[in-house]
Amino acid sequence: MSDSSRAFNKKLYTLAALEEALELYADFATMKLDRSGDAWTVTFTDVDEDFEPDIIASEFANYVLAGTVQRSR
Amino acid sequence: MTAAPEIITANAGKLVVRLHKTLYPLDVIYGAAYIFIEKAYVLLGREGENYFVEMAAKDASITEAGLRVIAGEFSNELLSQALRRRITKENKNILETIVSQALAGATGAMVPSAFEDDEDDDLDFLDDPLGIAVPWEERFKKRGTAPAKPGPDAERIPGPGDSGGFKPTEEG
Repeated sequence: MSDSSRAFNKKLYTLAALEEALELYADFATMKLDRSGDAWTVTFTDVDEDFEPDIIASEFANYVLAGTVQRSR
Repeated sequence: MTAAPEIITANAGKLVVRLHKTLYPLDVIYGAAYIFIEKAYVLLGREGENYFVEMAAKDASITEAGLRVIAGEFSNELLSQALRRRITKENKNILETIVSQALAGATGAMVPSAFEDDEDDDLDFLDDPLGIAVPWEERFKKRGTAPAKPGPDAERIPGPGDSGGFKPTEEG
């Protein structure tokens, strides 16, 4: 895991869950979504100074995972 | 190919576990990963015939031994999820039958015919074919055996429950 980016495999994660997380975390960081390749890669910049960039990125990844699992049921 | 989840790395607070696709379906991995969201940051990956589960403990002070404990717990959870999935699959037909019957009963489709063909359907709420609302006194009176209720001034003959007919006299 890189501190400022997370890659979400397109066969393991759903785009809807990722987009929901992007919307929700917009208040905490500026995020750039790269759709090329086998994974959606989210890069985090300008992270809220109250939080560590790595924590925000990891919490974001957990949120996307939870959304994906809930949608798969 | 190994049957058990294989620990690739377990250091610096991060754990990477490799799982073979044929042994661990994605639903099972989803179920286990979802449970571990509470104690770790989880990221799933895939490469060839393997899935990779990266977990970073939320407790930054965790040791390598602690990470290996998490890996063991995760393996147990994978087995648990796999078993649940199998039981659910085996009992799918039974569950569907029970639920469909319960729903049909709730909507009134299973009402017994004895209740539907009740001949007393046109009864008014004031009707009393069984005479339940008739007072006890009226019913008893019809048979002619009800004792007349004595008035307060009536001369009363003492009975067995009284004091034996004892009447105090002036002599005592």
